[in-house]
Amino acid sequence: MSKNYPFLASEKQRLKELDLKLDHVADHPLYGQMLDRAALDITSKVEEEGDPELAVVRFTLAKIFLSIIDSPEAKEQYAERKSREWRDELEAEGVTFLIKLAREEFAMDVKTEDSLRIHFTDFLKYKPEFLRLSQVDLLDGYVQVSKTQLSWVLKERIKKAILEGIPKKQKFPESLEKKAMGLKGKVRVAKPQRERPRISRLDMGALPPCISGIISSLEGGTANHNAHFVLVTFLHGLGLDEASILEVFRRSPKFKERIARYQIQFSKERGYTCPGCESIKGYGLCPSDCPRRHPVSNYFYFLRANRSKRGAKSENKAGQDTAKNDQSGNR
Amino acid sequence: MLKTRIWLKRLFQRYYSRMGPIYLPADVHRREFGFGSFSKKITIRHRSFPDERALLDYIKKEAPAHCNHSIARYRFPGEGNQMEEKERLGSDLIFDIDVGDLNLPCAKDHPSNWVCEECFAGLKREIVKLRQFLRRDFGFGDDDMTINFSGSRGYHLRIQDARVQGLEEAARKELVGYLTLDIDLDEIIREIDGRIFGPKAEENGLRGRIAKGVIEEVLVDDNIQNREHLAEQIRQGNWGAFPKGFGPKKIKKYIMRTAVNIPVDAKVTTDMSHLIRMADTLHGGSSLKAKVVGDLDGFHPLEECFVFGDSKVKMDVIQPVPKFRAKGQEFGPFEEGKVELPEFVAAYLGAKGFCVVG
Repeated sequence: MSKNYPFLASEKQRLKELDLKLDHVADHPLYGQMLDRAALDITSKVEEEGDPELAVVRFTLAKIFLSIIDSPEAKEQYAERKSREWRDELEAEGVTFLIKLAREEFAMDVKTEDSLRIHFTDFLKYKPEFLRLSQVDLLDGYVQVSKTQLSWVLKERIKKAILEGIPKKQKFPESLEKKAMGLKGKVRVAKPQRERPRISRLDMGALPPCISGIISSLEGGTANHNAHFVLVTFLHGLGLDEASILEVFRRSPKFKERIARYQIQFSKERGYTCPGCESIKGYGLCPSDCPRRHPVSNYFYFLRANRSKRGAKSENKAGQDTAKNDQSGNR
Repeated sequence: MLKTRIWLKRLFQRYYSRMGPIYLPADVHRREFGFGSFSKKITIRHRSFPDERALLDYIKKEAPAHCNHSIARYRFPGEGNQMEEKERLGSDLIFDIDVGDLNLPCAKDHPSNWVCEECFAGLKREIVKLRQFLRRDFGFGDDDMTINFSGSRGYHLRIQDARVQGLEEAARKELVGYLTLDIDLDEIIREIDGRIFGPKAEENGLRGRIAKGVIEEVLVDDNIQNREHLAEQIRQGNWGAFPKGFGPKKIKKYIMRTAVNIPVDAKVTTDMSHLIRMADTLHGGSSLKAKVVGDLDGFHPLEECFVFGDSKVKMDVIQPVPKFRAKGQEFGPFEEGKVELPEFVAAYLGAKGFCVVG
């Protein structure tokens, strides 16, 4: 284990052993600075403390601040961000550590005999939205998961632990109350994300020119890293699932399923979004201007435009047929 | 009607006064109870009892037409009428299969409040399937699952395992979707650039179930030529082998028609404060016992769930009754008019509203 995980039970013990009184934190020569660091941690991403004692003090103070601020949105936002940060750290850990964490810290039922599996109740309780019971290998009550999928399940469990660890509203020392109240206006509540548009099949005729160009370079085996990145995030942006995206990448003569699958999962798990047209221009991948400023928006723009063109054609054809019928009727 | 209700009430009182041991949910003192009359399924709720004895004493004394308990366990089960005040500690996992959700062809041949032999057979097929899935996919043993006849038109299957207690509504919804096939089939069948991809038969879970269900149907589908070849292709995940005209949309329809799904009532499974009929108590809408079923294969409600006697009772038929078998004897059909029936049949038809006491 290379990183600090202050949510662990062992870290609570570490905090206990410090015998730190809340009244004295502000004046403490070492831990006093954690007041500012914890306050900063609530409003933005701050690098984790290298020292485990400082890390657990900061984490505890942040939770106390959230209790004083008493905003459900702020609590949710902090727990979501921190659990994501720690999931990223967990991704770099060995699978043995993740299994130990799941079993010993969170009492999850994990099996490792033939493959990595977790009990379906743990899966359902903590799975992220993008993992579905209907899509997984479920047998004898256990869901087969990859290490990455397990890290996502742990992420939700960590989030729950953070939220449960925020103390109930109570009177805290003046120095902490003052600091927390100063934060109140700074905690910005994120706007709910717009639901992604979903498509069931890719209409090649609606692809913006940059994506068509990338697919051509993919087929020619010349697509570079940026092109791969734009393509996978674009396809995710359309709501296509892993299997469908994989089929697009299969066009490459250099296609290796294991690697492609990893890249697709990695991009989705990191929550990477497709770059806008400006960035794509910067990559040198934009052959011509489009009506919208983002490839995903352009795809839907072209899709609608194609449909209305087709509609107009069939209407014209119907009009011509009617005219013909009228003429034949007049005969 | 009132005279019939009074008569039924007396029968229920007689039965409950002599009632032996019954199946009780775990942690009776943590459950909310609700009771009903012959005109309304739940008239009293938010009741709690300190122990099993107090509960049974109440049932014996009051002889309710309907006895229900919460699938949830609460810290304060009898407090207030808001679930938050009760502080839920967990909820059992309950599945309810009702004949109304089976869309059986016999439904057009008899009144909607009647349950015929085909209905009972259909219900049994579904509860057997449900038990199979819960065993194979979800790993529950027979000891984890309790099945009881609902007392009228279906079966209940309950799981009180500690691990299911913490499943929240969203998790239960996903579970129901898995069983009823209420899922996004776009995630199962994908068309990419003219090629159609889907699950392989060897896969575990729902994906494999879909592939196997479709293969089974394809092999007997007279509208499809070269069936063996198509079945083999689907087995390997190549769903594009369907004949021309079968796009993703039509394949998804084919799946909905052929893949195995179990029509459990989503509302019951996802409502964590649901009140469910107490097993082994009487159903006021049929007079039958909501009997816990040991051997499902040999079970028939109209053989095993009557609790009343054979003494003759004069009844007036107010709605035509189809022919039926009960306790090994044949009855009906009855047209409107006077009949003399054994007490258990009179109670059955009286509670269902086909007859009144003459």
